Amino acid sequence: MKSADIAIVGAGPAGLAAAGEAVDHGLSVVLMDDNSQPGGQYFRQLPRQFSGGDRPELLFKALDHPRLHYLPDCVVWNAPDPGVLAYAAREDSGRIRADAIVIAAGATDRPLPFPGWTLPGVITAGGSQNMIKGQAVRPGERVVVAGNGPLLLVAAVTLLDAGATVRAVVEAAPFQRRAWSRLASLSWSPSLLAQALSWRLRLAATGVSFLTGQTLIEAHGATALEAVSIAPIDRHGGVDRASATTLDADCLVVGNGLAPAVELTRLAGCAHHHDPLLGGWTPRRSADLETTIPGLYAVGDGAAIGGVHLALAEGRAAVLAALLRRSPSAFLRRRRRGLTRRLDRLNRFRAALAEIFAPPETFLELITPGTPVCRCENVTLAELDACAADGATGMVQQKSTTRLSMGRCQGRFCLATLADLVAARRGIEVADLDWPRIRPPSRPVRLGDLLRETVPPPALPEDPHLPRTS
Amino acid sequence: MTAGTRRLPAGRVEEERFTFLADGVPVAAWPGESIAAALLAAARSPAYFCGMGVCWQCTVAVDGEVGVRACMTPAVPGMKVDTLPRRGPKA
Repeated sequence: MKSADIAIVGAGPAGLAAAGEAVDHGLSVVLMDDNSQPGGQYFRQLPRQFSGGDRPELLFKALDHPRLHYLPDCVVWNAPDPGVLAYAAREDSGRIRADAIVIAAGATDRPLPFPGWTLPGVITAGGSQNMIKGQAVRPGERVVVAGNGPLLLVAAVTLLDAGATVRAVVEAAPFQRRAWSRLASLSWSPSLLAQALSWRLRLAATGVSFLTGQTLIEAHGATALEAVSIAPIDRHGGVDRASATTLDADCLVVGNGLAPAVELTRLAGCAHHHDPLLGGWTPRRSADLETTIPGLYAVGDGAAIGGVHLALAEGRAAVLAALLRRSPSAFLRRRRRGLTRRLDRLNRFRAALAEIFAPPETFLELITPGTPVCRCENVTLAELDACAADGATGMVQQKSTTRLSMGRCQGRFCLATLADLVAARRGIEVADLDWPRIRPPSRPVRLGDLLRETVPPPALPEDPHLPRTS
Repeated sequence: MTAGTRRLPAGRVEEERFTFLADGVPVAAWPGESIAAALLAAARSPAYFCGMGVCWQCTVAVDGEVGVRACMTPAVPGMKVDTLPRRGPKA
């Protein structure tokens, strides 16, 4: 078994910041990431063979440090024991034991089902960003950007820079009204506020219509996307279908916020709570960012959605907390205090932003009987309703009856929707439902990759009938 | 500017362009490009969705190996990619 002072899962902003802090203070580090290049989604890199692109050199510096062992293309598929992670990579598979573990697993888009959302040409906001930033390919020519949250502005501006025509940005929240009343709280981070305003101005200058209080209702097309229908949301949160309009488009970018990737903290047995403003399930954390499992820290968007600046600060704060436990010093405590003040400011900004973009609760009525709720297993709302009519009303019952969430994405793109549907039908809170248990592997792994792991055989009493090996 | 209107200038070397086969049709690509990017650039609308290896919607078969994510796998000269039929909505 490999060992290190600290094992970090995820080489995005939070994981890299943690790695930098750890090597600076003399710790040995193993850094594992499932991408072939570091940076995560925010600092996504072009292929090495391309000569263009920017590298965040300060953040990537830790990767070249002799005390850091970096494993790219590596899936951490289980947290079997305290202080132990199981990983599988193309070249090497096995276990790592560490004094402290930092989970910085990042987040995924939380898309919501609507008719036509499985058509080719309908992609997530993260998918659009990665195709442009990571591959330098424009995902479409005439694009509608729709959903809810600050990522829509980012996606729209990136598409404009990539030369796409953005037909409209469709934001479900009645953004403008709320933004003015929240301006005071947003000033907790003037630089982030200025950035958001510059994106908004960029859209205005390019003549892109920014439609607030509207939602997409359907994506149309025979074999690929051809058009998108949108409609206003009325004062009571209902969809005003009579006022629907249709825009032709070859690409629809959907963003409805992000969900933390909590598979590893769940597999490790950490306590979680459900907070929609933080992206759904989120591990309970102390002020030290430690989960309920001692020595296991969770940071960045993989713990609670908060953006890149919070992720960078949390990555460093978790390592400082672990260091203070090993060898407390006045220097570390001082460094920690400065970071705590920064975390506090950013947390206030996060709270204000989450409230401004709080979505109206209309999306469930967008799902028609024929809409697939589970993309992998193609389970429609009608099938879930039929299942409920037969008396199988719980999440686990619906899962095992229909195979929803049993495909390759392991429920990442449907379980939250199923929870909302079941909670609405039964009139109870999402957090109180019988969510399916999580099991390893946290992500699909090739059997061949697992077979390379050499697990030492258990110690057996000597058998007099077997030939002696020594 | 490199060939293909959807590609953005990013330091691809023109001479390194190669082709692979997608459902029997030659598709252009550059070293480092993902299968999904090359298919999108060729306007062959792959089932690209999350773009970060999580949703598994873009899986293709490569030289007979199934369950390969087009968004996470670089294109290689001469590889044979089969885009699997997507399931449509149930009747």
